[in-house]
Amino acid sequence: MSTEIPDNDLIRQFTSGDEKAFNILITRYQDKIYWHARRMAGNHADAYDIVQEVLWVVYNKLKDFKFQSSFYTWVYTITSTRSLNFLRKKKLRQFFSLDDEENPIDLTSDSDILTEIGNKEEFDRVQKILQKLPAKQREVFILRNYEQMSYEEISQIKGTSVGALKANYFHAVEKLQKLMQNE
Amino acid sequence: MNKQILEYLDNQLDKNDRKSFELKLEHSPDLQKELEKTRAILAAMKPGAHTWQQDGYYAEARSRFREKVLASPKRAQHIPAYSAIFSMSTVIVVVSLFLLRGPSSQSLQKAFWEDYANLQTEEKLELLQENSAVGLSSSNVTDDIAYQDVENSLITDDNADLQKNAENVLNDLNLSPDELANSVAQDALDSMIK
Repeated sequence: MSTEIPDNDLIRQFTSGDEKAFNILITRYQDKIYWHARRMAGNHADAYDIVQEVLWVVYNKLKDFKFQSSFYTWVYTITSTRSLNFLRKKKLRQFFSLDDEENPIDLTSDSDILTEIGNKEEFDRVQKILQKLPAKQREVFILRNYEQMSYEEISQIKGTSVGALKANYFHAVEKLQKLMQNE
Repeated sequence: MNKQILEYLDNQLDKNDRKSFELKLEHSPDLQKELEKTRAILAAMKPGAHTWQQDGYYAEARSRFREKVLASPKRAQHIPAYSAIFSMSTVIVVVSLFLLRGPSSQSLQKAFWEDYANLQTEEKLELLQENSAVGLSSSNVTDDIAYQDVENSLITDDNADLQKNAENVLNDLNLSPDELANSVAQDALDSMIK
């Protein structure tokens, strides 16, 4: 079965020209990539753009993969960087009024991949609160709370000390508490 | 917010700290209240942990990506020769820049003093005379005396007078010929470096 092939073997197959190996790798991680992007961006349309960008980067840079970290860490690092870059660019566009701030993307749009309406409303409520956190705190909160990563794993992805990550997490929860009180 | 509460809920306390925190918790209703509040916040954020997805979303996303790949120029192959050529060019440019650069003030100074060490006292005095004539000498050593006299005494064409006058000047300065010559030579070197 394809899931039994280790990531590193699939990478080697891909770098030798086997495009199918790329599909297997991406199928394995697509969920993680999408949901990280989705929680960071706060909506499906932006998450979709981030996913496309991540796939593009992974596809083009996989040949340079050094096997010094796991593919899982590498993919998360790319997703994290691209998500933050996307948000930065979006903020800049909004600053220069290229994006319509008055009409943000509808979180409940039909194109969304969430299907159960009740859950979707709850999800959107959480997303809105999450979007009010600073991007770095939001990211640590997502990786720790939803991806269930250890601080050591997050540290590898972010290149930040465990102490700094714990501080970020603490400030994130503290801010969430204030936001919920004001809701 | 109490940091220890979050560490407790986040499983970041070691065995001993956890035990002592639980002991504290037993006896503090306020702490219990705060713990419940923090727990409630984290629970309220949980719906974001669930994922629901429409069938075929990823297949669609992947096919869009596939279109993008097919539309792009063929994936660039990694050609080691290009890297080698690039590295060699970089080395050649760096070496050329190193060779073409002017002598550093340090190497200039070293060369000057090597040449200077080989001079006899008379030659040093000649150097002193030459430098004074072109106005290179402005040593602090000579600032306090009538410097014009030194120059006048040194630019005379008469070698005997030169020697005599130079000796008088040296007496005035209370310096040995080598010391004065060294002082002026240092000025000359400073001017060269400038």
